[in-house]
Amino acid sequence: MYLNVTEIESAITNLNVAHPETTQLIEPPHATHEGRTTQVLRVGTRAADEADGILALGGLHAREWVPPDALVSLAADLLEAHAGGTGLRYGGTAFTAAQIATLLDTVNLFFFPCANPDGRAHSQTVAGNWRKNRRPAPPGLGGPSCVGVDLNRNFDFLWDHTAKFAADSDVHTSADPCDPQQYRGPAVASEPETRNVVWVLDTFPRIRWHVDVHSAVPVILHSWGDDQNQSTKSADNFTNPALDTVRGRRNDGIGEFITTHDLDTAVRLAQRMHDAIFGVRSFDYGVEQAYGLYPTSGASDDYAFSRHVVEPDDTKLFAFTIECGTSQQPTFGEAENVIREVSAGLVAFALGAHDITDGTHP
Amino acid sequence: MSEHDDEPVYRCHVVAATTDALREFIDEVRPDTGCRPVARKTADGGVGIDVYLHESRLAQARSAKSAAAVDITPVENTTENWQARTREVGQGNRFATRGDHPHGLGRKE
Repeated sequence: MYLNVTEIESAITNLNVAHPETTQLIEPPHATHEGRTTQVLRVGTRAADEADGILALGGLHAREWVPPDALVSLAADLLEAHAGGTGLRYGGTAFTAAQIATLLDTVNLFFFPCANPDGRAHSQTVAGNWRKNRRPAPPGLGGPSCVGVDLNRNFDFLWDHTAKFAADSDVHTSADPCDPQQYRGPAVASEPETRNVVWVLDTFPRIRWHVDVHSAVPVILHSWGDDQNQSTKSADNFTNPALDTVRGRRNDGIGEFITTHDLDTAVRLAQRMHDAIFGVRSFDYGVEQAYGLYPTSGASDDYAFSRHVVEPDDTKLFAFTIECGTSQQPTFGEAENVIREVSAGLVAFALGAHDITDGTHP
Repeated sequence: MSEHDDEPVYRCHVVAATTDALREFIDEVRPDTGCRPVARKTADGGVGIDVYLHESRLAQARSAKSAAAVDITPVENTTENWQARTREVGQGNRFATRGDHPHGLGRKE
């Protein structure tokens, strides 16, 4: 059975109670529009400021039901295996007891399983296709689709697409409050759910990797999402206002800058997830740049990776999106298979994060 | 959620021979492209993406000018599917008791 929003919060609260030595319960400060609070469960044997961290985020898009369940399941798996001194197996992908112990001793996993509980509750009980949060409709706009903001278009990364992208780039976001899917919100980071994610990254500066779990395609996406990547012109990047009229166009010779080293690191980290996922049941997610067919703006992965460019003193966060499975609401039997895939991918990612990023292991 | 609220929504797999043909279709029809507009290569060398269309818009999409260059296959009535899936959502709170916590799906070995 899928978790409802009450169960998600109770589940991670009780995991904290059962494993007080290896978890920390963290409550981001902003209540949702419907008054719900959310929680983050840190899993690891060392304090938040003593080990590098991974933020595993789920549930930004309400209708994608599997990611929150996957993150709760993985947190429970890691804690139970660590406490029992066992390894973990997901189909054909297995991790030894020593690997699980090493993982929890060297990395902090910050599980934020359901960032948009209002939306999930609405999707699970009223309108299955609901994607956004539940911000009330603006005054004078009464239609049901005028409720809500697409949280994954609300982050502070080229948020104002009308000013920051070429008019013909067809960036996939919307300034229309009644867009049923992709309304970006009335202001950058206007939404409490968005600000909670930002708060986690601000509060825990040792978080160096961010994996935003969505569904479905399936695919694993790496930076960037606003334009095609290029590694030759460092000035051609999202901070450059001279590109505001041309950004996002395909095959125009202008792209978003990423160093060859960072791109290689991002691809290798994504490939590590891919290989572990493939091992579960031979399902090929593939690895792609997030730009895909069209540019996007205001997404959590681009925001996370952009932070160190905007503020050079900020931690460089390698950021990814997993689009898991093929259906947003599969039968729960199939959801369990997808949960195993996401779990295997994230464990492999966590085990390889230091090696691939730094060439060393702590 | 929109003027089509009372209509079923279909997840459709749209395949084209080229990315340009797929983009032309999406530009004309403006479907809901899901979480991120990402296409994947298909086994026969084409490129495909899942889109979401209300029933009436599916008919319009099939008659679009650019539809001649794509194959549109409905793969899921998401409205019917959702009604079935709601029966698979937890009722109440399975973890209401402080000692109750979930067990993950990984095999401990």
